[in-house]
Amino acid sequence: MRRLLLVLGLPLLLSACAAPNIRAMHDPIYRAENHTSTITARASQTQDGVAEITVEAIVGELTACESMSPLLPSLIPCRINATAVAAVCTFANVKTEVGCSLPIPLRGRGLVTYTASARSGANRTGSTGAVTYAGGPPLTQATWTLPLIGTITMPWETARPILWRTDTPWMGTDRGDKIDFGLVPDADMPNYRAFTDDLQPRVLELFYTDTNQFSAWTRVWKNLFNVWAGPAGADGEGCTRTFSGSAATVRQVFDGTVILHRNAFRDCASISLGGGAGTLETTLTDATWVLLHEAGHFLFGLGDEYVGGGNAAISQPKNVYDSKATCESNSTANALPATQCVQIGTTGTWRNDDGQLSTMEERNLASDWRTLSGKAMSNMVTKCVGGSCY
Amino acid sequence: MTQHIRAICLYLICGLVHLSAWGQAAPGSSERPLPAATDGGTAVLVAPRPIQTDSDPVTQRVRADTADGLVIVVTIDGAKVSLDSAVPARIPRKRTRADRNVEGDAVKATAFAGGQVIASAVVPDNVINIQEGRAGVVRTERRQITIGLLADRPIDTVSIEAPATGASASLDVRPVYARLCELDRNSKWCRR
Repeated sequence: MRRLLLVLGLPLLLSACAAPNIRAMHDPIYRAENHTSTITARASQTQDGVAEITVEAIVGELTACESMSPLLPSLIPCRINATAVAAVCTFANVKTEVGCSLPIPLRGRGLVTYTASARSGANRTGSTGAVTYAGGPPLTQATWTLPLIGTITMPWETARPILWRTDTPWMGTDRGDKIDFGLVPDADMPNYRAFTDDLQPRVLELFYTDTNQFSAWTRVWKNLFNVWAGPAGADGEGCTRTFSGSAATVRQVFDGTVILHRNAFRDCASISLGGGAGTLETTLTDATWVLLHEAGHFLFGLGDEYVGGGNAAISQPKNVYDSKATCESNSTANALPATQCVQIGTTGTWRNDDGQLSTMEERNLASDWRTLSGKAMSNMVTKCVGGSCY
Repeated sequence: MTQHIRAICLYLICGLVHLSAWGQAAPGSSERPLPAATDGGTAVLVAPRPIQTDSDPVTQRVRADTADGLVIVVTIDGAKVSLDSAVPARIPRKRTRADRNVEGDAVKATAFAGGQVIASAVVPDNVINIQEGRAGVVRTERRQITIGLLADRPIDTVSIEAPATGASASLDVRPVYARLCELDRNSKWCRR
C-alpha cells in the first residue's frame, strides 16, 4: 500500500515541483533590412501555473571586432554600444500556455542576444539558453582609428548569426562543440530578401516546428547547431559550386554550407565531415526534407541508400558498404542484426535495412535516421557533446 | 496579490527611465514598440542598462574562440591549384586544426614564413559528390576549397597538397600583407 501511494503520489509531487517549460524564438529569424524583430517566449506549468515570464535581450551594433586585432577584421561578429533590455510579463498563475513578447527595432547592423525565463506559482524557475542573432542591413566595412594615421576602412562582411548558441560555459568545464551550419544565396535568387524569405521556413521547420518523423533528430538536438547566413556570392549548378568575394572567405566559419536556389536542377552535395557543401532547391514542396537529406551528405558523410543514388559514405560508421561481409561485420560491431544487410539493387553496395523508412533511402516525411545511419548520428552527438563534432 | 504589487513596482521604476534609454538600445532606432503578454497578463519594459563592450558575452566569446590568421580560397582543378583569394582575418580556431583526422579525401595547407613552417591545417577535399536522382556519385575534379590558417605574423607562402587528384602548389601570399602594411607601416603585419 505504501509503495502504491508512492507510485501514485510521486508523479503528482514531481509535477507540482516542476519548473515551467519555456521556449523562445525571434521572428523574423533573419532579415538583412531595417525591421522590428520580436522575441516571443512561451511557457507552461500545468500544476502551479505560470506567474511570470522574463525576456532579456542585449541589443547592440554588430562589428568586425576591430578592437581585438588592428587591421584584421573578424569573420565572426562582435558587438559594441550594447544595452540590456527586458520585458517582464506577469500572469495570474495561468495553467495553460502563456506568452510574452519583446519587440526590438533593428535599424542597421543589429546584433541581439536573448534568454527567457519563467517562474511558476510555486516559485520554480525554468530558462532557455542564450541565442544570438543578427538583423538589419549587414556590416559592409571594418573601421579602425589609429594614432597618427587616422581612420582606416576596408570592405568587410562577417558571417551573420541566425541561431548562435552563445551560452556561457559552465564553470570549469569545456562547452560542447556545435555544428556550424551555413546557408547562402545562389546567384539565381532574385535578391537577398528572397533568400532570407526562403531560409526562414527551412530553418524553423527543421529545428522547431515540423511535426514529421524525419525532423525529429534535428528538433531534439537543435542545440547542437549554430545556424548562420552568409553574404551573396555563391553559385551552384549541379555539382559545381563556386564562391566569390566575402562568400568564399566567410565559409571558413561553417562546418557545412548549403546554397539555396530557386532554379530547378538536381541537388548535389559533397560527401564530407566538416567543410562540405551542397545545394537546396527551395521551391520543392518537401524542401525541408531535401535539406536534411543533403545535410546527411555534406554535414554527416552519409551515402544514399537508394538504387541509382550515390552509394558511398564516410560517416562513422558508414551506412553503405561495398561488400556483404563488411556490412555484416559493421552491423554486428554496432549491435545491429547482420541478417538485415541487403544489397542496394544490383549495385554491389550493401546497407542494413530494418524495413522502416530511412532518410537516406526514401523521400518520405515519415522517414528517420535508421540502423547504421542512426548509429552515425548518435556518434555525431557524442562527439559534439564531447567537445569536437569533427 | 504579490505578483500585482511586483508588477506595479516594476512598472513605476521602469516608466521613469525606459522611454529615454530604449530608443538607444537598437542602433538608429526611433520606434519604441512595447512588450506584450497573452492571457490577460501585464507586460512592462525593464529599464535599459548599458553593457560594457569588454563584458559583453558575445565579445568575450569571440575573443576566446578566434585568433589572427589567414583565410585562403583555392580552386583545385585536377593537378592544378590556383589561388582565388587570401584574406588576413580573425578566424575561428576550431576549423584550423592540423591534427584533424579527416575521413575521406583531404587537403593539407602549410604556411611558411622566413623558410619556417608556422601553421598548417587539414580540411576535407570535396572531390566526391552525390547528385540526387540517377547521377549517383559524381567526382568533381574542379572544386573550390576554403582553408583557415592561424598565424600571428605575416605568411610568405602556403603549400597546398590535394592527393585525391595529385595536386600540389606553393602559393605566394606576401602581397596581401603588403597591402596591410601600406595602411599602417607600424603594423605587425609589416615585415621587419
